[in-house]
Amino acid sequence: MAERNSIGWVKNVATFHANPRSFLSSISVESFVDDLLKDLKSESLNEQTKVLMLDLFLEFPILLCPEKSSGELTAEILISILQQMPTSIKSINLRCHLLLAIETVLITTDNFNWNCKVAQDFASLLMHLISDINDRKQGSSNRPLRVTACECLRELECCYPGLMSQRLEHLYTMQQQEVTTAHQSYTLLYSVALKNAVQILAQKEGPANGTLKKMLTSNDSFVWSATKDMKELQLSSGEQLFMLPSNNETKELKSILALLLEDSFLFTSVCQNSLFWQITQIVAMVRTISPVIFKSQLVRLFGTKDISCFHSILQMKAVFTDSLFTAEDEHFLLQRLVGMTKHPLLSTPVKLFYLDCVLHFPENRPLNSNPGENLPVLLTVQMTSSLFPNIFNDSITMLCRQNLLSMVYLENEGYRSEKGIGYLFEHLLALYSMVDKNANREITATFFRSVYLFVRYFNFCEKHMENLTKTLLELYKSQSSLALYFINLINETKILLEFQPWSVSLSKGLQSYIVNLPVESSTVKFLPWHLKILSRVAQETNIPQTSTVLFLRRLVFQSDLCQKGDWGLGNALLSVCKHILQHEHLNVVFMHLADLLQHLMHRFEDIDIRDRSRLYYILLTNVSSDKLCKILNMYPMGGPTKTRSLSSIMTESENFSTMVTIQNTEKTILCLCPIHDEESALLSSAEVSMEESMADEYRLQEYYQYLEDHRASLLGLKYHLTFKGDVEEKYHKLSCIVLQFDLTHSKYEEIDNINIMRLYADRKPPLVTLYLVPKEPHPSVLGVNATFNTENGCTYNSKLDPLHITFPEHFAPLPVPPSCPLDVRYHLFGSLWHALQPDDQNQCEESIFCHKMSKETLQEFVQSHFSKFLVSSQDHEYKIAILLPPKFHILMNARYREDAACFDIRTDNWTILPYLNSYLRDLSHNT
Amino acid sequence: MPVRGLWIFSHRPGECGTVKFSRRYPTVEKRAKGFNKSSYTPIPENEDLVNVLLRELGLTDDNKHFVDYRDNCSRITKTNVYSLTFPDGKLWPILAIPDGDFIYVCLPLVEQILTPTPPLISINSISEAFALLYGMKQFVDFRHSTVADISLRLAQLPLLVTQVCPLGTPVDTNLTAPPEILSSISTHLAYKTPAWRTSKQKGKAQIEVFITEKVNSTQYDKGDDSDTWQVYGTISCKCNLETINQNVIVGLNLPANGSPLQDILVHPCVTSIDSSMLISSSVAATDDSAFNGPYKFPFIPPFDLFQLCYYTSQVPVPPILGFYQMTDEGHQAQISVKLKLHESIKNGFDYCEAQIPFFNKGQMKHFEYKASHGQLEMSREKSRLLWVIGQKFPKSLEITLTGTVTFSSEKHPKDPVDPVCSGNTAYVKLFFRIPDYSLTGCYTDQHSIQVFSSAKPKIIASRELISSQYYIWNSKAPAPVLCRSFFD
Repeated sequence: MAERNSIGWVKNVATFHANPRSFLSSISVESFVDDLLKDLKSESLNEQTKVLMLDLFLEFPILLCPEKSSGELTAEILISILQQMPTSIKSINLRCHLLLAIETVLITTDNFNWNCKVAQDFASLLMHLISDINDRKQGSSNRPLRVTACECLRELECCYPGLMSQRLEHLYTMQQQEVTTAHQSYTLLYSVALKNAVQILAQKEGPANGTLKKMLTSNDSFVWSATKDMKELQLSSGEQLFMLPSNNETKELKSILALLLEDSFLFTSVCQNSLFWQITQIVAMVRTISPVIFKSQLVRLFGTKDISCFHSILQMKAVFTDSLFTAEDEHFLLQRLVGMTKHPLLSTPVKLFYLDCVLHFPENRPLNSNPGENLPVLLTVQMTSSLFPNIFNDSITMLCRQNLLSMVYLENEGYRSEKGIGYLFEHLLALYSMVDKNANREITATFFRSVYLFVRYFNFCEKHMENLTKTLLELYKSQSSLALYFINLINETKILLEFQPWSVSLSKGLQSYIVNLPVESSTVKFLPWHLKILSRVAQETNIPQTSTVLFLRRLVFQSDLCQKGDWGLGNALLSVCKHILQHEHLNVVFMHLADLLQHLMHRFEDIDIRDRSRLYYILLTNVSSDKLCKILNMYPMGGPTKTRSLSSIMTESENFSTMVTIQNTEKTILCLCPIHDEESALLSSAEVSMEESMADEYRLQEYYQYLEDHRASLLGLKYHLTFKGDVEEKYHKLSCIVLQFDLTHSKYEEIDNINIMRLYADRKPPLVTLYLVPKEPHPSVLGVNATFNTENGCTYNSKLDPLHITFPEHFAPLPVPPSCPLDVRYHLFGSLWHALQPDDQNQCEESIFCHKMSKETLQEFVQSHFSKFLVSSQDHEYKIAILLPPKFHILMNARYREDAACFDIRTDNWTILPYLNSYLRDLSHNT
Repeated sequence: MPVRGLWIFSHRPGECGTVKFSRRYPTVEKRAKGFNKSSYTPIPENEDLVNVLLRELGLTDDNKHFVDYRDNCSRITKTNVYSLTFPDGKLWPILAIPDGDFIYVCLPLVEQILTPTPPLISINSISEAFALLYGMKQFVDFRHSTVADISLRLAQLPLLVTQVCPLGTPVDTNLTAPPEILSSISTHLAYKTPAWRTSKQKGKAQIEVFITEKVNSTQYDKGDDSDTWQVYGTISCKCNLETINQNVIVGLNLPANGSPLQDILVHPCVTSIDSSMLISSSVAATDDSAFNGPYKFPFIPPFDLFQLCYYTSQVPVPPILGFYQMTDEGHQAQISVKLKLHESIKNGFDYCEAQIPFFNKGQMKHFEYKASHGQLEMSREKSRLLWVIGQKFPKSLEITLTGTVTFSSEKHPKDPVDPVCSGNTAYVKLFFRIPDYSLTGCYTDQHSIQVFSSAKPKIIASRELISSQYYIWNSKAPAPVLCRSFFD
């Protein structure tokens, strides 16, 4: 537990927020809450800090008060704090927060009930607070507290429906009298209480005459029985509501509702939505009140640009349909809605929401009750013509519009629809030409999605589908590396159209393109992709495989594939063979396949591939085709021996999960802990110079050459490989650990695997040095995987937590060859400073960073953070040179000037400046 | 209705996501448990939330070519509402709105069972979630603020969010104008005041009304009707008036030959709307007898600058008609640009320039030209020409530029590339602003602004026309089509 002053608490609260569970695991919750409550009373803390501290109760009440009793106690203490506080304007924020904290604690710890005195006190306190109508007693400075109290009561009423159902008249009177800005909260509180009260009446079967009237004029206390079980919250969707028998007493209710609606234009838009929703539910229940009371609000809502208000009208439409909206109104609303889906001044997420609303538009007379996307009957081709997708749309909009228009053209027949389908196809072609010219990943994915949508809706249009196949084949010819997209498209369209042969014709087309390729270097370059496609095609039972086998045979016989012995390619080849082995018409290709396998088993320069070719060959020549399929598709029964023997039949395209020799650990068991290297810091305390002439000789050119020669070893980060937390005993002795690095975001050049002999739980953790060659010296993340053996001989794979490489971890001191004296850095600094002068041609940039600090602080600052990089210090002027391997630099000249430290900065990579800035800022704030 | 939680995450490509702001509402969470029953999924810790969200948004595995969960063609996102999968179940509906490096996230309460997933339109709190996130977004204002400003605002955010949304149910979404805390004026009012913070006079009473129209255009010079243009406008307002319950009416007038305003959307402070204003719409075929003003907007002004209304319009001609021809041979390109200002348009610009970018061609080495008007500049990275036309078109209203550009044969890795502009597909983009002018003709003046008070406020009305996406495509090469016509 840090210090209990303001700064200490601010820090504590921030750490708590960042990870509540781990914060609480390190300390005792009770004592922490004790300290919190004690210090909330203390006068030495300022209001702001106390508000922050209370935020913890607002957000994590259950973590802080895990038990019911502790919740009650906490609430009691908070109330007493509130009651002892002076009612000054200054403390208003704190008092509001106290109310909210008490409310949250009481509700979440299940203490809000009749048995809890604190809860009763709190409820009466809230009622007392809100009874100060129009700031009469406490003045307007107290108004936020009244509003907060109203909100607390509203939340209570929402959590415990009916709690205030016997005080409606009181609430109504207050709602009527209040004229300050707080009236909105009073009205909403009343409307929720009224809705819940009506709902309770509606649930009772056949309430007696006069009950409604009695309810409206009731003036009792809280209905504590409502707090009994919160689980039975009434679902608020339209159908589940009950109806009240009609009678004359609804007249009064109607006039109340009309009055509430009349003032709605004075509310903020979100509150209007809340109010409309409550009243909508009431009117839906009380069938004798006509929804026409909303009529006066409609025009205002039709024309609003606000999403909450417009959503209100859509919801009224859903609940009341033709009892509020005439056919003409419905048409008009749909027209407005469509207009909003493309309004240039609305933001994209909002427009997408409206597009979704169009497809779920609540129609007066829906043709079906399908809960998915439905096209409104009134939506015509003309209305949607301006929603045509184009390549300048963002990809979500593009696809959503294509989806909507496809539905429109499918629904409406005629020449316009046909034209529309043609236009959509042209849109597809426009995307195609972008993908064909090496578009980025997003456009590529969008193109394939767009194709998928087109196939989904227009697979019956033979002309277009034929063109589509042609286009896709063209694309594969120029961009074979998109093979995985093609396979995915084939798979997905096959699921989509079970009996439609389109995906088969695409597969056939791809096959015939690939098998007719000449055996030359350009083909071999894309061979991995081609083989993936062929492997997929081989799974289609009604595509003959002869040409594939002949192609593979030609390939193997005519190229140097076997001599090179690439395991990956061999594996891909065998994957195709394996699928052909299972093909329905195996007998047709029998001879050629046997030929191929035989060649592989004798000639392929990789023993694993040879072995497996032999296995396939034996299976092919000795086992009937029925059995063949069974063997190749066999799954292990369990047991490690079986697992291993079967895995060799597998190929990479299979689902490995059940057939692996390497198993995954259930959770992360290893971690890399960074070591803060103090050793290299010593280097910087430059020894007295030797001869200056020597230093001069070390020129910039040589220096850059040195960097180039040593680029792979300039940045070495040191870690201990240790166990993460407590691990099972079987992992206590690990050997042959291989760490593999996943360059998820490719900010580094390829990193070699690191081999570690052993890691024993009872011995010192081994040291791991990770050499990085950053492409750009920006903060980054590395994925790490470890493969290792355990004592019992099993092999495991475990994913480590991603390694975060921060910006300062990219820093290295200027390297100097061992033969040169250390003060050579001083001269090097000078030459580099000169060389890093920015101009139009280079990437260099200058910057300055200033921070108020004393001479002594500056010295301390430099010593503690940059001692490794210091090349000289004189008269409170420090020269700092940092190498960002492999070739970038940060040079800093730090000086003390007029109460502040000024860092003149030069760098040869301007992109690092934001990181440097924030690094320096963080450091100086913490100094 | 309420939300269960609010977050701001930050994410830069190649880095992990970080949490910038987070607020949970435990009482609402308790209700969610009650409503969602067996389909209830608790909210995980922030770190897990951000990781799964980034994955769902497709922001991870940047360098990998095809990743099934992200690139599968049947996975088509339709809105900004996502479903996130956690060990405890699926968390839905997560509304996530990205803005620059930031992602604004909200989880609204759904008062029913979540399986099968109900349509968004039926979830009452979804629109509040949108409104809250836009309120936060506007307050943080990532795009227009410095790093220091942003961190200052993020620090203020917890208190403000508690003020506008104390227990999960928002009472307001405007964070820049939170409910007033201190006001010692105790007025005895006869009628109810608006719930938003209204204008309070400081200095002279004044009403400012700005009409900003933007014009888009795509021109092909193909001789058919494929050219498109569209105008859209915003009326912004700032009022400084004495009392709090001040009603103002702003009227917009159209001259006889003006273009009727369509798709009018008004600010929620507008107290009533004449339904005839809403009839004209770009969705339906327009009818000649359309309402053409005056458009009246009675409202109670908020204290700050606000957008009173949005509209679009269809004008008969684009303000500047142009053509662009570009052909190339080897490393040389011949260009010819002709621009004509329509005679009905005010010939007085604040600025007017044409940008001529060259993509996929390498750096410009040499440029020879003849321009009938204005100056030419080459951009610093040598990939773009800038034709500065200046404040006025000449008397003929027509200007031309012809020239020959020579490109260097070496390729630089940083040469601008555009997937659309391959081959000779190219465009000229126009940038201009005409002050004190509107394309629709719409205007307001002191006679059309009414205030019901004894002291007459000073009225400032201004208008401007600004180009937005104004493209003229090379007619010698294929160009992307933006609009499809069904009427021939």
